Amino acid sequence: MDQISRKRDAGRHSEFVELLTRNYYKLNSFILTLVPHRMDAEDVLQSSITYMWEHFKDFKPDSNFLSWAFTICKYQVLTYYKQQQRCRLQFSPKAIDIIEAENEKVSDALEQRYDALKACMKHLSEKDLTFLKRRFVESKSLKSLADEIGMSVNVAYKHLARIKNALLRCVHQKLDSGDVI
Amino acid sequence: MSRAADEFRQVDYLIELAMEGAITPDQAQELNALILTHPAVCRHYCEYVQLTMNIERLSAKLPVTDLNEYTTVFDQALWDQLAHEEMSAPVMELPQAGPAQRSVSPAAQKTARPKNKFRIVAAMSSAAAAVVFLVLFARFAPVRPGIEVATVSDCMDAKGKVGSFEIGSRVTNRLWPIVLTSGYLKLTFDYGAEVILEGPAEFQIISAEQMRLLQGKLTAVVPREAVGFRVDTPGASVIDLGTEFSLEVEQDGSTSVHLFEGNASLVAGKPGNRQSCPITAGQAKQIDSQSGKIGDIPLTAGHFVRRFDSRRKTVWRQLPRGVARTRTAWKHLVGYWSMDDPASAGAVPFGNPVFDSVDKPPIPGNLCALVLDGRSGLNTMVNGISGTAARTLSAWVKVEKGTAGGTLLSWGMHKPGVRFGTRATFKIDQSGLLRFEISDSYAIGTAAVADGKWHHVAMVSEEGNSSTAHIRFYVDGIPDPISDVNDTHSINSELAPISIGYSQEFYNAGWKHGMELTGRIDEVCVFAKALSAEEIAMLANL
Repeated sequence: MDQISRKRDAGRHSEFVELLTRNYYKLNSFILTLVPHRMDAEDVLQSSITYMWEHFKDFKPDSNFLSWAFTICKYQVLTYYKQQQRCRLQFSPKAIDIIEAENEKVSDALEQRYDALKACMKHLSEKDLTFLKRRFVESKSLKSLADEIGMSVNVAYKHLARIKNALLRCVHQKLDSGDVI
Repeated sequence: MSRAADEFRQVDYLIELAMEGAITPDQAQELNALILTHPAVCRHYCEYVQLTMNIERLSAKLPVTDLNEYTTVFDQALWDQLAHEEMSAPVMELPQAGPAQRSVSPAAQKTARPKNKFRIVAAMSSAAAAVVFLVLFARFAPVRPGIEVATVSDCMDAKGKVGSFEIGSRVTNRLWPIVLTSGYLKLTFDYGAEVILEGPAEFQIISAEQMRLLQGKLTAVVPREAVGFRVDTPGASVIDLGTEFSLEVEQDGSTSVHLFEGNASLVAGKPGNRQSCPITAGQAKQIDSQSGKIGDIPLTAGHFVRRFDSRRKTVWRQLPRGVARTRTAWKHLVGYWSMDDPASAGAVPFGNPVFDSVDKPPIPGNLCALVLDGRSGLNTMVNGISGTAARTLSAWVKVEKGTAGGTLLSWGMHKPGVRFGTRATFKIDQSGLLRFEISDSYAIGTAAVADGKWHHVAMVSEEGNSSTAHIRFYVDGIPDPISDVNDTHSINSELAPISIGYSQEFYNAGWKHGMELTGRIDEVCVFAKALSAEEIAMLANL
């Protein structure tokens, strides 16, 4: 390989890294909406990134990376659905289209929502924050968490949902009030 | 409560079930239907999922709760009350203002260190249970990019797609692959695993306990404290249980795994249709990239770089059994003859040595032993240890009862008429005992090894030791006391090529009795270090 080709390759590599880093969480979030199970979503995300890396030479520099990447992620999700005939949650093609369209709108403000969430987390009670930490920092499943603290799994699901909804409303309020730019 | 509120609560419940992988087919259909029929539900669904991901992002920056906090906050009575309240709990509102109850300060972030749960689990659980837990934990743990998780501990002619690698530089986990175009790279992960990569290779660092090999070859050395280290490939995962293994990922994505030491667990196949199997030392498996099926293949000796040392410009593709379990012994390995490849024995045959694949030492993965007839041997091009420098000589031997013994290893001048000259000789004497001799000095062991069985034998001399009275013998990894000694002359060996068995030197000197080994020899090692008793035991496969 000559020096010019090497430099060009190195430049493309850096470009890929930069674009991926900038859009990583949007892609992650999109895949999670179609494959909510964390372990499976991680598989799809990994295969999507690998596919993007292998086909980055086909990506035109002046085109929309996010749109290109969303298409690849969607393709990888559909491939995953095909491989997983017994997968419990497979959205119908129409539902996928609706989720894709809605996700595009929601992902625009992803980072603002993240900043708002940071502020909202500070308002959580000690008890709820600890619950979240045990669930997410320690990666405990809700079932094992429920077993440990002696509550039914259904109650644990509802409690987690209640905390998240409180945070979601807080995020909305912060975005609506312009607290977060 | 309004119908819309009910539907939202039901959606939340279904999302949580889906995220846990606990949703039933009927519930999945219900969620699909709700999203199709209510645009507001779809919006809420996307926001809820995004919020969950953002909580995970933030959680990555939170310190792990300590034990005291558990006991304070997870008071049973409090949770019983919570459980009761949750049945009819109203919508929860967060205060709009006021001091933060708990802030996430940069200082707190700095002090946070991920818990190595693998160690705890490995200590408390059986290996099989640990594997299951490790897989689940590793899969749940969110990828937190940008964290330093490993160090480049050595590199030799290593070139990457975007530059060179530097020894000592820290490596962060990444979302994209690293390309090693050529050379050798050794990464030491923060939890103790060492990975040797051979270019060209493409890999991804995921965490201090996990990486991904997309293409190429690697060898992972995982000490006890790093049990649970995991390497993913496009079609498989290898979870280490304290071992050394090599992996190769071909261009078509097929994976082969070769296990040299210890145990590991292999998980292959696509999500939802995975199969797993244990692998033990000496085994090798291949995973088909399309079907995910696991098949047996022969362990390939010499195909992988097992160790390299950039300062010595040395690359080891084969290592003696047991050395993988020692931290540093391999660095002092001067010569190793596995006798597994007759076409590449690493020495010039003298006489008519024969390689036999049937009768060989009880070592997993061992392919051949060398058969000597009393007039044969191997003349190597590797120099022995000179002067009084530290040394360890070891080999597996099998000598029939009643034979006269003979030389295992020797090097140096053998002057006719000056008895042993200055040739350092490690041998089995006519009584079947271990013997080391140089000039007129010698030391003799106690245990007879000429009994028609395979034995691991070793002799050790410490740095600066000049007396044969202070050398150590080992038989089958156990110290073998000296029964007779003469230390008239100093151990002052020459820098000369090593011979295995009978040699050109003995032949030239006209030596006939006591040097002609008739029997079998295998896994011959010379170290420029006095190995410890523990290290000898590892070599002896204990």
